[in-house]
Amino acid sequence: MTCDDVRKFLGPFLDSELDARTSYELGLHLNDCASCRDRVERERRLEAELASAAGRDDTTPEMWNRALGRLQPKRRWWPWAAAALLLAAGSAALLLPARPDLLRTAIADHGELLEGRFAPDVATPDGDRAAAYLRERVPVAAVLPANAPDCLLVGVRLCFFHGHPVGLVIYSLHEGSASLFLVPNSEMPSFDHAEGGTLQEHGLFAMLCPVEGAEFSVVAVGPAAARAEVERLATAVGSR
Amino acid sequence: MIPCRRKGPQVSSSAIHKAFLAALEPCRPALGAFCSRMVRDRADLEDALQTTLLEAYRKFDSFRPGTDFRAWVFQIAAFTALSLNRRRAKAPEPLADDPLAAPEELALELDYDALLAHPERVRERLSDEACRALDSLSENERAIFLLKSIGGLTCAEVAQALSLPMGTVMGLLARARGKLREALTEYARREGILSEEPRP
Repeated sequence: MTCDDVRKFLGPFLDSELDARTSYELGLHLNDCASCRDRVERERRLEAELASAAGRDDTTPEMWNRALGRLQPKRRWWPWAAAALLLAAGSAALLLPARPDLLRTAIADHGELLEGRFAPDVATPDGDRAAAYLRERVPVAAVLPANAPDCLLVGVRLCFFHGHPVGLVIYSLHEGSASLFLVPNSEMPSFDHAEGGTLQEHGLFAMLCPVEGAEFSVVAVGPAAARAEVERLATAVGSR
Repeated sequence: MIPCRRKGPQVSSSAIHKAFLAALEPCRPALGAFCSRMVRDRADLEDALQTTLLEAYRKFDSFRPGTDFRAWVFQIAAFTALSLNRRRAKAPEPLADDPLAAPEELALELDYDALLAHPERVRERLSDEACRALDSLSENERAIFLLKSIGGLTCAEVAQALSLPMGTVMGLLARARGKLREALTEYARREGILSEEPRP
């Protein structure tokens, strides 16, 4: 092997990616050639400096906290609850052609979120950005609650309640996740339980909250243990 | 041992949650750095981090215990960052470099030898310059270099992560290294760092 060969194989050699035979021959050459040995050592140092410089981390502890706060253990009750809901809905359908229940639909969608079946379209802690994303897709001109230490905006997503478009805003609370579904008032006649009220099922709490002067309503869902925070979130939504 | 839902005895959700966080912990600094350097737009950094973690958490079922979690999670991070960059698609891919004229190439080569002799002279300013140089690489070149240098992946793992042939990965890695060294050498020459007397 020549000094030119060494330069040619330098990168793979530094990465330990050379085949055994070429690596052996290169090693033999390095044993005999001080100049190449020196070169390899310098390249190794420069590579380490580059890796160290490129390894600058611009993420902040707050970013990590927000990201990790969104990871929730999967709930095993969900498949059973879904089956029970389907069974109940199926039985009811035999008796009368009922419209879907708004609060139960919201709880079911929130359950899917907890299951990790879908993620936000846009993950952002920025309320204005989140609202702008929804405004372009659903007729809801909302002002979303700003972040507080115990309630962080995670992201937004376009959802469909039985084919009706609604905006979903996801928050992270100490006790778990909360969802705010922004439902255009024009879609309300398609649902039961759309005149207001609350519902508690499977450890989750849901409430419907009209927004004064707005053309949409908020359905908030979150852990029953955090009912007060969920209510506060729901009532904090404003309109433009 | 990382618990898995698919094989062996049933493991509780909270145990899997803890296992995910435990596996993630040693990767955090490198993963943060990787996302920082990969996204074209600073505003996408948090999106990249969050999406990577959510995707990895969601797909943790499909992670095979006994394989390298680090390579697996970096594969997700690379895919996420490349998708975000594609969505932004602000800047076109840098054009292929014009081949240097022979005298210029020789001068660069000589300066590079000087840089190799005293890399510590640019160390203090290397970080900013290296980040700028990284930004000038193509998407694949940057991903490959960062997966190797920060993620610690082998070329085979990089090839798998980016769905590229091994030969392409090796070629792009060599090209990325060449461009980075060239950029640093030019920077050091421009700043007059290489003509300084060696520090004692």
